[in-house]
Amino acid sequence: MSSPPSASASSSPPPCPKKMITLRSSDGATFEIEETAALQSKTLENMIHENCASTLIPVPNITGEVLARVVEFCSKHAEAGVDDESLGAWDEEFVAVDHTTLFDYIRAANFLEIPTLLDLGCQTVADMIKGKTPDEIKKTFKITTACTPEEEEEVRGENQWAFE
Amino acid sequence: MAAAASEAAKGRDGPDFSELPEGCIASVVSFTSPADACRLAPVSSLFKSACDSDAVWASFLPPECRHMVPRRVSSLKELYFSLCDDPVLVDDGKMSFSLERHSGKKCIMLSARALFITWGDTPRYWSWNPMPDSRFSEVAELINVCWLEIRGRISSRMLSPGTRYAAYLVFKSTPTFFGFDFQSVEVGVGFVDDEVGKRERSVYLSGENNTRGRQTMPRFRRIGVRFLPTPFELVDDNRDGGPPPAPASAEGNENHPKERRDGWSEIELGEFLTKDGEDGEVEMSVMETKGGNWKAGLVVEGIEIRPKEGKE
Repeated sequence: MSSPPSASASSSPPPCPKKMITLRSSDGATFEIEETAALQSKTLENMIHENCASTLIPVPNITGEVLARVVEFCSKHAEAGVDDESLGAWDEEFVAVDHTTLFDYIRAANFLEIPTLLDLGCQTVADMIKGKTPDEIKKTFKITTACTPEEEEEVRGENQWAFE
Repeated sequence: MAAAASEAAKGRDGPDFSELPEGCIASVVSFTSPADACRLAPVSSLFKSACDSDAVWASFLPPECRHMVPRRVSSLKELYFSLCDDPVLVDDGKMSFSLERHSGKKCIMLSARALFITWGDTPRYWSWNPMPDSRFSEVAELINVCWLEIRGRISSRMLSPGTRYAAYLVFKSTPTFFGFDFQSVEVGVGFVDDEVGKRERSVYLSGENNTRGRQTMPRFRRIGVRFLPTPFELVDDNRDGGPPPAPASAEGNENHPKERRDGWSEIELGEFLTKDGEDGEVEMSVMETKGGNWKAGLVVEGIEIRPKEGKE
């Protein structure tokens, strides 16, 4: 939370204290996040600018478990001095989770409008479905609103070239 | 196997894909490919809606496409396939632009007018005429030359970055097609400032059957100008060591023309790689200037540049 000590502490001014924001999840858990990290979320950015005095922001759509991870993601991506390769490796580990958690990240990133997290989550799911047929998708993921065979046949016919 | 099965079981018991907002499904699909988007549409009505959405096809279309096309379409998906199936004429009709269906990468065809053809402006050697099955307003017909030289240039900026492209001469033959049966032509493609990378090879503009084996019948060639009474002279194959040997069948069909779906023929001239952030001029050439024999009856529509099949 505090900045690393500068080399010539005697000559440079002391670092400004970082402004902290508190987020409250749907189940009442609270999490602190630096303002700079929170600004990665367009939703939070708007809320911060609207509620200038308050530093507690309720996030009703997201549970504590997921919000904790989202805070972790934003903080990591706001860190200075992290090279692209390390960040990429960190991101890969971040999304090496089960489908339920991955979908939770995507929903959270969608609601909070965090482009980097949304892209990361969607790219991960995309990599799982690339090159697959509808039947293979249905084996990998639960799809409760699948088309009837007739509907499927009709849509397949419209897109026949992709199956050749 | 066991891991995959348990992963599959976990998926089926896991989250319902249908519970993701449509916008999120569209975001996921936009990270796949045009072929994937069409393959996934039949999964569910939500998938169909997401896969057909403008959000997805906007990500597959090159950014400049939405403004360049003066045609009425009701969706970006329709625009995408319109650009795949129906090339657009650009640069005053001198080039055509289209998209490669599977990848969405740009394809360009340079018309004969956009090429540099030696003696192209001399009516005795080349004639320019409209042809109904050409996408361009005119094609170049070879009347008769000894010196065949066709060059084309394109800036890699006009193409998709990070792509392996191949260039093809698009042509037909007329009944007076002559001088190509046993005569190979030198073709090459490469960046103008990259002498090392440029590859040249010999190909035939005549079909494979025409060049197999030595011809046993005497050959005649027409001398003089078309449309005038023209005498023939007997070709002396034994002069200069005879015709060159037919290509070995092991070389396969890459050295002979292939039929295209639009009724024209094409022969690959070579390939090159466009790089992200690096622009350059690519030159393509078709040359036959060493054999000294007369050649006739070649109709050139242009040079097409499109992603090389089977390569990313």
